[in-house]
Amino acid sequence: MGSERRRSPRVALLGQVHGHIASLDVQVKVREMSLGGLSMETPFAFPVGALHDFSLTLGDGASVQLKGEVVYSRPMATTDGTTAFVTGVRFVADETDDAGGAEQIIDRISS
Amino acid sequence: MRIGFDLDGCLADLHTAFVQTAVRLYPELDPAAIGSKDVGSSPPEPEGETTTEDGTPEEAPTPAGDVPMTRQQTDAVWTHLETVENFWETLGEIESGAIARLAALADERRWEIIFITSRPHSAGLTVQRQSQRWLQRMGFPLPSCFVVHGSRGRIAEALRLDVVVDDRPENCLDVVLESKAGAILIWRGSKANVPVSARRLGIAVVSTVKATLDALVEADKPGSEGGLLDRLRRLFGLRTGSPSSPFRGTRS
Repeated sequence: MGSERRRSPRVALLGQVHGHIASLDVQVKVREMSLGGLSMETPFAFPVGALHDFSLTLGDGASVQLKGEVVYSRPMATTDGTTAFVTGVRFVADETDDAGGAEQIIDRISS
Repeated sequence: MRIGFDLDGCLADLHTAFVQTAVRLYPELDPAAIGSKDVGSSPPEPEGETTTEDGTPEEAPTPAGDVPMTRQQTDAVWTHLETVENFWETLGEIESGAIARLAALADERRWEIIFITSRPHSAGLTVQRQSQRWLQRMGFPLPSCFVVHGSRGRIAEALRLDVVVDDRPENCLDVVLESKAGAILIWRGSKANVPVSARRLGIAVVSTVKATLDALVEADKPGSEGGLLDRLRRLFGLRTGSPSSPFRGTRS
């Protein structure tokens, strides 16, 4: 179970999370998501290693911004004969992320 | 405020019982290797809800990690634990006095607490009754206990919770994706291993129940600007997004 936790088990989505690749202005369908990354259906293949900014709209309308690196992009079977790809993205730290700040605030409250 | 509290890994020390049983069944296991606090800290999820064993990112990419026990060993430990009479009443409290403090705060501040757990069956009383008796013994009288498997987000939404406290990142992610509740992740491991996306997705990360309760009390103080959960969000330095923030204000 510890290994499962560290590997961020995925949350399967039912289509209520929508993504937008800000750098390309492309809407995508998010298939699965974990704290480590996401997989999405895209109309074209992405080069592995490419970095993109993602804007995710959650089920209630809240939006969040994340930066991610493409780790794979494979053709997928579609029922209507169109070309589509499953693309995997790993979230990466943003230069503006300050992971320690909130913890310090909470530590001050708790001390 | 309505708060959902996970049991194992947050309040109840399943880890110690799990590791002791694992070492007894498999003496060849290195206790140090399985001594990480997240090993056996929560009950297992059903098959098919975790990543691939080879770590290949078939779908959503996941961080790589050590595998201290095989799936077969883990299953054997659980098979044994499920035979222990009223096993869930035998656990210790992770942070001594935390449950009694939670009970006192709930009374003082009129918080409604719902304990949520995915514990599997064990011999003896029902899981719900064992959990209730354990909580009462730890200082929380008349606890509301919900034994349920499946999406924590949908549970949070159905129960109209304002905040969910959980030690599993995937449960916290599920909460912020599938409900209007805020999520607080109790992360007892190294801070360096907290997924970079947690805060971006509006998940507050703390290392102890004490810090969680302190933050909830701070956010609950009257007179501060904004709704209770807005204050909590600011407290944790979480980013907001238009049209609403990941912590989206109380429903009360």
